[in-house]
Amino acid sequence: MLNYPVWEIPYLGGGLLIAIVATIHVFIAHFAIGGGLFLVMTERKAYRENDERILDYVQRHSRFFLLLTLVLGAMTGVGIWFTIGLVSPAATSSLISIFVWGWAIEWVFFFVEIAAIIVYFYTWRKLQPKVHLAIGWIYFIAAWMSLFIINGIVAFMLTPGAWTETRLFMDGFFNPTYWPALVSRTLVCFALAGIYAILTASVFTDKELRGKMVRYAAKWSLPAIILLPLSLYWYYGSLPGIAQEILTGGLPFIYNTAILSVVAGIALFVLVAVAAWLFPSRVPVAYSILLLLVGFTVMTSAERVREAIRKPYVLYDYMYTHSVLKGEEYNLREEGILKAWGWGKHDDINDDTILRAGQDVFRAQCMACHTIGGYNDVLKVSENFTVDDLEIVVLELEHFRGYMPPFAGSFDEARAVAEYIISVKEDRTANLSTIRSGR
Amino acid sequence: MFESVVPQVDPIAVPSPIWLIKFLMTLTFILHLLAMNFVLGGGVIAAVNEIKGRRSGKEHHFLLSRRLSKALPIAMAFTINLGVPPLLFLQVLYGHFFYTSSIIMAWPWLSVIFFVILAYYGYYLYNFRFEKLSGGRFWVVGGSALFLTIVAFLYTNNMTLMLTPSTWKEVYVGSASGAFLNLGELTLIPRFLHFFIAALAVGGLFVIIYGLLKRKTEPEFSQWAVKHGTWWFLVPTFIQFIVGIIFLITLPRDILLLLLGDSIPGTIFFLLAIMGALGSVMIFMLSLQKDEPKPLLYAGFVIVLFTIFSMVMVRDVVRSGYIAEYFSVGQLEVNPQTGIILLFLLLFISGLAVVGWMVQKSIQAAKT
Repeated sequence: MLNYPVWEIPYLGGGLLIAIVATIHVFIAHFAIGGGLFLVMTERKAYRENDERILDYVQRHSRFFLLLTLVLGAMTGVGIWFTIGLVSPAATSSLISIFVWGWAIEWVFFFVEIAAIIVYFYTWRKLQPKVHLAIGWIYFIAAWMSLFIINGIVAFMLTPGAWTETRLFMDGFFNPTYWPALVSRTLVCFALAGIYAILTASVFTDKELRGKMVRYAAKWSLPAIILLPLSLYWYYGSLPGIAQEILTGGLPFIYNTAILSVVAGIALFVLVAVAAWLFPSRVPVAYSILLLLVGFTVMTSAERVREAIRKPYVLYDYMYTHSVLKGEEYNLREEGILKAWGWGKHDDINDDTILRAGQDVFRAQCMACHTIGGYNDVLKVSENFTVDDLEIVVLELEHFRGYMPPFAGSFDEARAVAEYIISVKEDRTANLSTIRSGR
Repeated sequence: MFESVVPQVDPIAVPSPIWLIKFLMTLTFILHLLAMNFVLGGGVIAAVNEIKGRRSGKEHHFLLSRRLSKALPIAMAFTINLGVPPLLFLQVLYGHFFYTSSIIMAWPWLSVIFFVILAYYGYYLYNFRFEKLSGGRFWVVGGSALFLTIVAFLYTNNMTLMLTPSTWKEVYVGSASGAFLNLGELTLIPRFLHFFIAALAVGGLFVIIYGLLKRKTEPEFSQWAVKHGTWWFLVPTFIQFIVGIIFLITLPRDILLLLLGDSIPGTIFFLLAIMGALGSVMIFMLSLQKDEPKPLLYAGFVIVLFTIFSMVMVRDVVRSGYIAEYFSVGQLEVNPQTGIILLFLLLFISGLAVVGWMVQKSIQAAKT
């Protein structure tokens, strides 16, 4: 195993921390791509219709675009990288080792992308329209190409495909969910371009122009939202069997999240359509913010589901969520996790050290997903257990709790972690009753 | 006391010759340093000129601040972008050190993102609201520069912590909450100051370059800016000689000896760096007395670039020395993905060409 120390994040746990940073990022980053095409197409529209007001609107929209995507979009992207390195260092290390040159290529597109958006923004009305549009196109192509690259790496985590056998870059990159994920994400880019444009139209335009721009923006969102279920169905068909099972009810929480995503998607369609057909010139800012919130719900829940159906792996068929490589658990059951991990306080388990050793086993094996008293609370999932019950469940995790990785430690260590968890639970109950009786 | 634990090397072979990774890491790190020096040093210079301008009423100070305000957010974008490849390649070669130290100081390390976002928006505010801010300008640009100084300090924490595995386990066993800062490290403050002061000096060089660009259109401002920038280079560099010596003597003895004979590249690059620093100081001092300083200034730029390169090489020797008892990059298994490497190089060159074309167009636009 790749034996990194595990960071203890109170209440949230690592998974939720990644999710928080990642959802902010994807919600801006997809806009950064679709919105790029929106900029050029709308600028072109302004020239074709010889409409100064539209040109003025796109210019203002581009300033909002720059401030949002270049600062918050780019930095939260770096933020995901920082966060996954802290929460899943072993998986991050593997993704980097496998795809160094993929990352490097993505960096090239990122470089072209930021140069292009800066030049585009600072040369408004200073360059010939044709040249300015060309720079806009360069921006959009570079931005979409960065999706083309990162999509391969993101999809790899869930469906590494033939890579697990061949260990070839291209097998891992163009993996079974690569194309449906690329199409789905591209559709999301266009849907977001539309709803962000409704926001800026509601802020920057007068009533006359607003009607026109809101209808125009809706034409970016609505077709994309209609097509999205088709591409997602294609995506679903490319998933591994266990992932399909989790998605369709194996884990009720995840099933519900998927349903939420679908319902929010339908709601988004209806809200955009209603605004565009009934009161396009009177869309208030609050309404366009509502659209963004609903869109955010769609994306957040969908990404959440994509992360969850990867269980029990962090890198499918290769590395479990607790950073143990697939197949390594057998050795670790013999050898013991504490010795292999190396970050525990004690090397051996006896009556004096058992609780601390249990805590260290918890850090090494459980803390990748569970917290104590927070998200995915281990005290809650073992609520009515005795130490003996818990010990048995720990040793047979993959059977008792489908979608959890096997416990990769010795019998003594299973006992220790069970003792530790139950002792924490008893301490808390005792504290609680002291407080209550004190009152 | 606990024994040192260093996580295992990733079992997946490095898909590239090591020299190529090192070369690109060094190249992009130097470019990142230059851009970073501009956003940090330039921010401090802008803030100081805000105050000087208000006190002296001299137009040139405001003019310089105004011009810097336009360049800072753009430079920020490239600082971030150019920071990506060196950090990527660092993770390829030294990931098992870097991830571990990052986890031990997880919250401070993650807060880098937060501080950069604040500094970045501060610079945009300073640029887009320059006139409206009037008296608040010093606080906005100074605030951004301060946030970036914090970022630099956090980086120094991690870059020193990753080199001292012997300290890790004790901290981690005590608390896994990732709230640690490497304040017990003797080289921390000198190393941080060494980088921070260098940023001020190199920031001064960018002011000189800007002054030189404005020779024809604004001769008087140009002359002032060249002198002003030269002082910004000289004064911090004088202080740097003291800080540098303190940094040296705080290094562990065996590392110090690497630069004084034990390692041939270490010794050579160290000597070159010292000579470069001394040489550039003399040249920039001389330039102050010349009516036509341009040739001297150009020579000075070349020497500074060369000095930065030598210092980065020294840094590499120091890093390898620190962790030599645990690891050397020669131990990494290598299995090059030649096709993808070629694709990267091809795209990289095409990308540079496209950016070159766009820059050319925007220069044209600026002239009209």
